[in-house]
Amino acid sequence: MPYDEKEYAKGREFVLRAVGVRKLYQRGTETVHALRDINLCVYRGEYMCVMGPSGSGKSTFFNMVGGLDSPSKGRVFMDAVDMAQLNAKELAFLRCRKIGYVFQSYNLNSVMTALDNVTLPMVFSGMHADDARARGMALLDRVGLKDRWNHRPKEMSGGQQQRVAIARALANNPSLLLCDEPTANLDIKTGREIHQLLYELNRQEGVTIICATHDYNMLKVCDRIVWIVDGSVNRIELSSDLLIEKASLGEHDE
Amino acid sequence: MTSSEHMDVRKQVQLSFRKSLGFCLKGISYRLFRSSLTLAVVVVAVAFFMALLSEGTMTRSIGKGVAAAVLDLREGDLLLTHIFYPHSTLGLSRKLAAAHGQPETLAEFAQVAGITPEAAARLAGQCRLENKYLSFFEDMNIGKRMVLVKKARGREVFTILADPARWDEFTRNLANMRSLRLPTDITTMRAFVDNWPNHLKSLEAARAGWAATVTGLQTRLQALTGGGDVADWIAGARDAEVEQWRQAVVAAGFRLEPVVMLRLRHLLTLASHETRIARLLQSDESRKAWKESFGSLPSLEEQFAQVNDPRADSLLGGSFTPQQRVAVAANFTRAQQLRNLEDKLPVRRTSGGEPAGFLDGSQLFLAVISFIVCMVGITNAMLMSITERFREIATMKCLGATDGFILNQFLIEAAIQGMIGGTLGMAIGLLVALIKSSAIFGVSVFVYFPALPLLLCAVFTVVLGVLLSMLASIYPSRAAAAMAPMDAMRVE
Repeated sequence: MPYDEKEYAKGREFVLRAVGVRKLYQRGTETVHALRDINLCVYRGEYMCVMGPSGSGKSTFFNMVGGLDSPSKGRVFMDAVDMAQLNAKELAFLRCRKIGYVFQSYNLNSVMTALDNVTLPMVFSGMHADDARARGMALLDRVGLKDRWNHRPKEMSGGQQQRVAIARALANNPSLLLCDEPTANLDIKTGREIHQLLYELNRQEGVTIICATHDYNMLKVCDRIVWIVDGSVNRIELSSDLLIEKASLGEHDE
Repeated sequence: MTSSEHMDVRKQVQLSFRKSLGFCLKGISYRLFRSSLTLAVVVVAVAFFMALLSEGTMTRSIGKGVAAAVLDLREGDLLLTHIFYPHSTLGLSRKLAAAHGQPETLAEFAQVAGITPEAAARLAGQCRLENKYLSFFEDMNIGKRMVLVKKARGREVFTILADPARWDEFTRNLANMRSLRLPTDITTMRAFVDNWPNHLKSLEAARAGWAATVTGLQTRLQALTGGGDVADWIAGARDAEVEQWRQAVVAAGFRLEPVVMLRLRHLLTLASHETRIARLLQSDESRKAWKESFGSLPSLEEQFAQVNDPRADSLLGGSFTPQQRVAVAANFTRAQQLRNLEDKLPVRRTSGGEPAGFLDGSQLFLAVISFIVCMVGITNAMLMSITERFREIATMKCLGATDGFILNQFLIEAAIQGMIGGTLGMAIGLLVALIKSSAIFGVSVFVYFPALPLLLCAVFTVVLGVLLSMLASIYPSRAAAAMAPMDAMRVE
């Protein structure tokens, strides 16, 4: 059963819409087409994986939808807001409250405790310190690190650090969670735990997730897979279809 | 969130200074090593500057103290000169110019010279002008002077300029010499020149009056003292006689309060004793006797410093009480100390006799160089710190930090480093200056310790450290604030 956008969109509302997004870089005299007219909708509550080889434009696409970079042409709408129209302070506002970022290398502040790291976006959003602390503890509890709130990144394993990073990304209850290869630095077992956590967050709390990954294990837990090749959307598949294919090929995930 | 809900995008909130500060302090405490490198740069620069500044301050304070002390020792001489010295009209004119605007001194002068206080004040005003014009002509170079007044010297210029033709020539030439500035306006000078013969006449009259009074006074005092040396007479006089002497001086119109007389008497007595002791010590027999009782014969200066020794008593024929000998020795030692200090003080004076400014040229040059090195050092250290922390900065921007917040973080960090480094540097610099100065001047540093000026220097240097540090980190802070948030995604 091939993927049908209209069928899939039925009954869903979009959180993010990329319309004809194009990005050109000037590298010396040569113009690099990082993105070529990408049209893509991300729907509320879905778990979308973005796959593609290195240099395919995945990261550039992430920067566009994350409000970190602006397209050369085309528009990115977050709900109804065109991100290209926002000034620096409004973009900071957006990044603070509407988007949560999870990085490949965790990017925790090494001088702060887990709790301080989680409450950092709340500090930026101007939340009262006591409220921030309470919410930070609740989030740490949710990712299973309540008893490690006073530990610094150095004292935690990679998986634990990524959990803290996920809790931090959720700090201001964002509309969208952007994960950039969250398991690339982790071993398979820990990676699977992170997958499980993201899956639970998506299913139980309804967090919308976009996740760039090379990890085929992740495909199990997501709804849709977007393949980006050479700066454009090559194909979109439903995870359920893919799993059937895989099963029929006899590929069995342990 | 439902679809009907319109997404509301506002400007990101601005964090309070207190929050920013707390955030920054937390960061610094974990990057102590990097911070301490920047700190060391500030410390060295500020310490260097503080050492220069406070050494200059201490030297100046000692210089001032010594000058005052020397004046104090010579007070007796100065008072006697004031009373008995016969003035020329030129000398009198200088004296009156200095007394301009001092009613008490002018009143005294009027009394002694036998003129009204108003006339004395008028005369003083004219004398002030005279001295201004005289030094105007004295100070200019010889070429300009030849053009303006030919070969006229000193007061001759006033007689020459009285001639209308010469005056016209003078004003014409003066107008062409842009670099010259007349101490008063030209009409005042013209009026003064016109009045010159009258001025000289009244000055001469005042001088004659003063001289007559002083001569009269001297005759009267000679009757009292028997014509000998004033100092010797006062040293041996009884209280009542001294009071008589003072009354006579006061009757002539001089101001001489009992307190001042007491001091004058003390100083003159000391001087008289010193002269007598010197005379006694220089005789051949006493030199021999000194050698016998002390075992050696030092210079007269060293002998003076030892007259408080009991052995010296018999040498001096027992004519001085132990207290007197102690006083003479102490006075002598003090004068010697002051002379020593004067020798060690740098001779650094401008033409007006005023001490030179805070730092001289070469010191200022060194200070400026040290600041430039310091700024480059801080900028470099800050840039390195930013390169090291690019991911942290970019991540913070992803999490909602504004450019302003990042900028503030780095500026606050720089200010804190400047403050701590400045304070440390100030303390080190002060210590170095203290050690150096006390090696040169000994305890005199603490006798004339300039606490308040040093405090000002300290505050100034700490503020300077903060400013310097902040100035040096403007560029790195801006670089940090301009960092792209997508760098956070980068993976090495």
